[in-house]
Amino acid sequence: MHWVIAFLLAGIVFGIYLRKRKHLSSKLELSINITIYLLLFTLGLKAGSDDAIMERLHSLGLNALIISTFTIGGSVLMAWFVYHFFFKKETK
Amino acid sequence: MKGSVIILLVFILGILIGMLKIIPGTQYLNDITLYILFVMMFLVGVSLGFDKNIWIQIKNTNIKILMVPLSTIIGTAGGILLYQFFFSFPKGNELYAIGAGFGYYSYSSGYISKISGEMIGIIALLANIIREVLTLVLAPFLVRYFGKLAPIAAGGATTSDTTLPFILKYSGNEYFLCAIINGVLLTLLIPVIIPLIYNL
Repeated sequence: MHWVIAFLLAGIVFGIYLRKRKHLSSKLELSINITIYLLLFTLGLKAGSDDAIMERLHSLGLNALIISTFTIGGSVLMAWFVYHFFFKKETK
Repeated sequence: MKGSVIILLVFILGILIGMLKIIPGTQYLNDITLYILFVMMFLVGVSLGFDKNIWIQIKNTNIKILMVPLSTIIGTAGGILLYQFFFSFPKGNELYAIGAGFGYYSYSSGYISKISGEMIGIIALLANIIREVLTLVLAPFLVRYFGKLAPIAAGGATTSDTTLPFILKYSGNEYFLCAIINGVLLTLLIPVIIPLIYNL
């Protein structure tokens, strides 16, 4: 994980250095989008080519989906509460 | 919503092609994903460095920001508690351990399968992968209906890496520090919380 953060920090420093070159902005957005889709595709590829995951997906996948729906649901409701009462005013 | 559909389609396309086993070298996928993640994080960093405005807002960040990982933890536990009203499988502490993976599937499934066996380990793996994927897919919807912190809480430990660019895209660049702190803190807490759950 520390490597991920190191790359992020290196990127920030590089970004500050590049600030004057405004024309790069749109190219940057495009390349981020490309890497996002590439990452998603490989995450799918990883899950799809893993027999242990795919074989169990039929039997245990629904259990897992319901569990994650509940954990995400709880987290999102808490976040909505915190955002509404503690964050919203300032960002307006 | 269009973004969500494309995200889901790209992911499903990956799964289908993975299942067909037509692409060689899938054993290197772990490394490849990591390299893509490095490139993505670097580019996200560049776009943040580029953006002068966010740094002013980040300067105004205060201790309040810690309420976000806290609400992720409390909300996840609350969700599990509610789940138990409807379902009796898996049992108590295993269920909380699965939830406490907060999307960090490699660590949580490894640890959980050692203690609770392969089946619960696989559920932990699937539930935490699904948490990550659902956050990616639902991010625009969550921001719209539950506010800008919602995808951060949903993403759990993944908000300092894979889900970060989506959060910045839909919640805004100014939520960068919030997402990083949430992700890093939870990632550090998972190896503490999961063993704790088993020892209760």
